[in-house]
Amino acid sequence: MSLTLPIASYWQKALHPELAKLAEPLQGWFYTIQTNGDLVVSLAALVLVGLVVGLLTGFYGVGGGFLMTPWLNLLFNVPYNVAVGTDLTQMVGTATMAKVRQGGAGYVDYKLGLLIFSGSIFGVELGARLVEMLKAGGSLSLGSWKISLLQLVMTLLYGLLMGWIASLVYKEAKAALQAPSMGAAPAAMAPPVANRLRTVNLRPLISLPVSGVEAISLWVVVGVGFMSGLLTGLLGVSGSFIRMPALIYVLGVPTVVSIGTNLFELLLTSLYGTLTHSLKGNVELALVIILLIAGTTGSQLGAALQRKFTHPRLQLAFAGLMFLTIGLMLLKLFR
Amino acid sequence: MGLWQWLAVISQSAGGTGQSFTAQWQYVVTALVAPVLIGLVGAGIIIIVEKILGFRLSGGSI
Repeated sequence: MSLTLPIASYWQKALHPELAKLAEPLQGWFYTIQTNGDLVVSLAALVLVGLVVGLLTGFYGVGGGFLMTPWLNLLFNVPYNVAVGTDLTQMVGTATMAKVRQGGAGYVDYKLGLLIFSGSIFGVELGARLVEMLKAGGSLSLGSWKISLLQLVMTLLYGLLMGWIASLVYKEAKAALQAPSMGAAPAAMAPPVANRLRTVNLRPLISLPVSGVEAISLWVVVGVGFMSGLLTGLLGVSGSFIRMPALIYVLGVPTVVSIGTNLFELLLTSLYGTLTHSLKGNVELALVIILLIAGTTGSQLGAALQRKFTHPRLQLAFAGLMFLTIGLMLLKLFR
Repeated sequence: MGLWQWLAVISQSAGGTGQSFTAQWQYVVTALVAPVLIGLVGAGIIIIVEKILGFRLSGGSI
């Protein structure tokens, strides 16, 4: 069974007008580009990829955005702007689910969450506008090699992000394999940049009674929101890997409050991101529904499997999968 | 009209040929509401499954 993606088709034709005048359909991994330029994808493959990404996120406890967005482009030829907007919209569903599941057990510092969101909103908007600029940037030609600016920049950004995450996972797995008898891992240390940010005294200073923070520069709080929002708007990732360490190490918020506040802030940010990306025509609604349902199912399966099987070698395999994805993304770029 | 067809109809640009993408209001509202509804239903299903199985399932990764 196959599914035509109207939004992805629209942007594919806009970004690559030559694809609307094909002599015969073009076959890809799990997609076909029709002679009129429409993008038709395999429904079974979509469900399978949603399940696999969900399984990986549930098993390894990571967010799925940094995997799903490049895979949508790699396996289904979904333009990056649509992959980003779609993944961001899907995040509204996962954040809603997590918030309902957290229920009354979640400690939320609403003042802190809203202040971070006031920075995020500008970051998300800037990120979404950067995507618009890349869309309008046209193509680059180098001899016979022609590539759209959007594809080039997004491949490089995702390659860097995924390479960084893969190297962290690889190092952690190697350390666990080499010293399995060392006992519990040492307590995490605050990164040096966090210590520097904590001493910023730029006024106005604010207090956060719920989090037990007596005085912190408003600009540090808003800046954290801006940076994580920029990643959300530009790449469709949650930005929790910036927000959570910042909440704990820079602002000194207790972990239990950080988790609830991060989730509250993510829900607002993803809703705003969905609004701005949908207004710009970057959200493929059918993909959101399919990937959200398949991803949630896969995530539960992954978490259940993780309780039974856990070994550093499995982390190495995950790092290997990320390096393989980077390699395939580069191959697609030069094809 | 099936779900996919309806989604395809509201996903068309409201602007004319050659103009930039102009989103229809139904498209924007569906993008905001559909994931929230799926999230609420998903959370409800997980809570019911937890009650049947008698243990807590994963909270989901974000």
